[in-house]
Amino acid sequence: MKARIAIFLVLGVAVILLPLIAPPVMNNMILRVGSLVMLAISWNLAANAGLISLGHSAFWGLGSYAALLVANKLGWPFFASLIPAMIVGAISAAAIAVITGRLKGIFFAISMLALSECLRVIAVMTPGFTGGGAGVFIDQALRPSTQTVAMVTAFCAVACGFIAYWISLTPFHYACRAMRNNESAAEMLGINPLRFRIAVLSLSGAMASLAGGVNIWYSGFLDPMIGFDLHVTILAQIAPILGGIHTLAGPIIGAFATIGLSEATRILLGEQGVSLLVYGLILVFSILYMPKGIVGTWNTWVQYRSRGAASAKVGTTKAAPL
Amino acid sequence: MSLFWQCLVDSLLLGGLYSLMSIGLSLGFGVTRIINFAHGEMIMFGAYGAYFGSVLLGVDPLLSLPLVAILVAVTAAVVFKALIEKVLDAPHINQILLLFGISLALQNVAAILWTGDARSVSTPYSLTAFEFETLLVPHGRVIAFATAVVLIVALFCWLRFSELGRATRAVAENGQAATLMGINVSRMYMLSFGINAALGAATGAISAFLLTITPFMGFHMLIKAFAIVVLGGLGSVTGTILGAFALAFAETWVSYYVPEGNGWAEGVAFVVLLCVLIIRPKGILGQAVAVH
Amino acid sequence: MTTLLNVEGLRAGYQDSIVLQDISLSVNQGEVVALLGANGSGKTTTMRALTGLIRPFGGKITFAGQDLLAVEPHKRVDLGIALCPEGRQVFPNISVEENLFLGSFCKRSRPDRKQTLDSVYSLFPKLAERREQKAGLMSGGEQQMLAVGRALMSKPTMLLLDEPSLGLSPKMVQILFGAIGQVARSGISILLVEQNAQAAFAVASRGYAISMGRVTASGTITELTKSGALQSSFLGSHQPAATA
Repeated sequence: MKARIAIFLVLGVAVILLPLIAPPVMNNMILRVGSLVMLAISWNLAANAGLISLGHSAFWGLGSYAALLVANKLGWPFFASLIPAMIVGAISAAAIAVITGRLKGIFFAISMLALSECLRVIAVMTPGFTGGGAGVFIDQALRPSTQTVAMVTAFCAVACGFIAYWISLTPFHYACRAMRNNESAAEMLGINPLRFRIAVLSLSGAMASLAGGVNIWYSGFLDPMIGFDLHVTILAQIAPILGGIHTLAGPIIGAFATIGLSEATRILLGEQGVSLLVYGLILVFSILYMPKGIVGTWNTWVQYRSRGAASAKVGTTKAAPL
Repeated sequence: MSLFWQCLVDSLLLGGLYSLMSIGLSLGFGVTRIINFAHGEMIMFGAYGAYFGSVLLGVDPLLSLPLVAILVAVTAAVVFKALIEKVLDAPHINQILLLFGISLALQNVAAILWTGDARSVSTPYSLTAFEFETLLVPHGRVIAFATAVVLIVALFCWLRFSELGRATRAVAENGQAATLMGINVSRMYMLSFGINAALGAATGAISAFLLTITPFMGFHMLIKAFAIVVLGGLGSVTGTILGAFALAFAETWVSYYVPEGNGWAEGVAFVVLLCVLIIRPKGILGQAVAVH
Repeated sequence: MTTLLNVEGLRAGYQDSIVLQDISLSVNQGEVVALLGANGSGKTTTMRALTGLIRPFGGKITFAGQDLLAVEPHKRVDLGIALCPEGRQVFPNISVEENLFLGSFCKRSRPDRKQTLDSVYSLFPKLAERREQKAGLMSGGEQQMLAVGRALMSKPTMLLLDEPSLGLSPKMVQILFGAIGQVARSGISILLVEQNAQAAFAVASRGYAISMGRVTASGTITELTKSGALQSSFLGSHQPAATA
């Protein structure tokens, strides 16, 4: 166990320091993968508790706007601005957890979809506050170097990974699994579903908002279409599904795979619509033929192989008396 | 005062379109218990069908409507059989994500085939209107409303009086008991999904001369249809119509009476949706739904 | 007497749990056969396997000389086999008359559904009174009548009744079994699952006692009552009935 943690730590530090040695063009890639890792872990956390979000762009957008607004209106610098971003994400997630109450599955999914659209309309309609549909630039004087943003993204992604890992070691993890499978049974075990829902979603919301908050410092420009882009929602769910839902490594592997696929289609086919089409097809394909994702399929395969070997052994011992 | 009447007439006309837009979604869910996240794309394909019928062949959207609806319905039934049927017993998450994926793929197939450009169909009745003193009632909207009413009445009659309509209701209430009656449940699922699609496509064909057509038009209509269906009570077809008119009234009133209302009206559906979920998740006429 | 339904070595269950270990039974043309046993002995599972609501793991079912397992569940009604399921399972938001019409959905029974409807109404006059009412708003006994009537609407040659007396008042049981006797006299074969042995004996000529998914005794009603096989079956004894 300790050795494992040590390996994770070393890997984590290496990832965080990567922007220092990688060529500057890599910063963009680190940023995209890092953000998606955060989003995917965040989405997977909620999904672990049986909450399927079809509106993660809501948290992303809230985080982006929170960071941008405290920078532009209050002059907060990069690092400080990430704190309100997380807080806004956590609070709004807690609110949606309370609002959706006992509604699971479909209703939660639709509520999230609606929330994200609702926030987009609000952002468009309050130009005095958010810059409205025309969008707004973040204060250029406050912007850190791209390298710094990339490093922070890497750090945050690693931190999210650690949090997810830590949760997987606590009873919290089992409570989530119980809730996902059967909420009333979980309740009988003494789990308070609402409290857990609030806790899980706040954490999930904070992570997604943090990703949004970091990203605004990289892109420098925000409008409601970028902030509450459906694209973010789609990426947030595709990465864990492709990698392996309800697993620890799944969202991370999925994030790399998704960005890889998106780059490959961009280079090979060029058009933007094509990559979205590919995302759609990945979703359909994964759900139908690989519902456990890359990680789950790999595990099954390994198990199958070891079991195949084991049963072969049993076969020989059985055959011996004959 | 004239503003009041204008608002009332507008909401009524919009309510008809909204009813047609969401009734298929409601029926499809009532029978298959699967939320069709690709409903918006059926509307979109209906709109493109009417557009190409009008531009390439010079056929009026209302005339091409039946053919477009049937084409989309058949395609949807095939998609149902090939993909969706496999997740009927799967967890909700698989169902939701599969349909979401199908929706995404369809949207972008359309975007690649027909580009993202906004299009519109112009008909002889697009720009004309009845005028009663200060009241202005565009012909196009009246025709759309009438078409919606005809189709909805036809659907109700079919459900109420035909053998298959009755079987559809039976499947919606109890699939196993329906099997015992000799009803082929999986075929009824396919049929109701097809009807869901046909009604969506019909909505699209009508909206072709009211709205701008883009590959992504379906998404907004989907969310509005969700709001309506949740408002009316998931799976209740009558409730859906009440929900449609309620949303139409709310949106129209906001756009008339709130400053900058046109922009805010876009958000009414979401606020309604969230409010219903807080106050009465059963919707107006729905049965208990919190279980799933 | 020709055999209408023949079940041989039926094994069935749900996912990984096997409920039916080995069920063999037969019902002849025009006969009323009771399937008796305690809760959980596998009576309902047998019925579900016969109608195809579950797919058996093994065994053979023939109906009128045809391999029933090769027929899709919804097509079995067309062969003349109708189940009145446990717990009634009427369509609650659909009117009584429409429930009955749904019973005659299959092609074989559709042409003369009007006559069948009349005969069902004369069997259960209460249903005629309530024809416009939603089925879910009726009392349990009336719903049971509706469920039996609905099964009869398909003009079956073989009627499967799963615990029709469940949760009914003694008076209602009497009325219902009176009607079932009438159905039997009209020549329809009946396989009747019951916990209420008393009621079952009033109409059945033969019976099978099952326990733990196996047939533990069979014979005419008199034989069964004399041998005490039923007592052991209901008490869940593992002993074969013959030794009891």
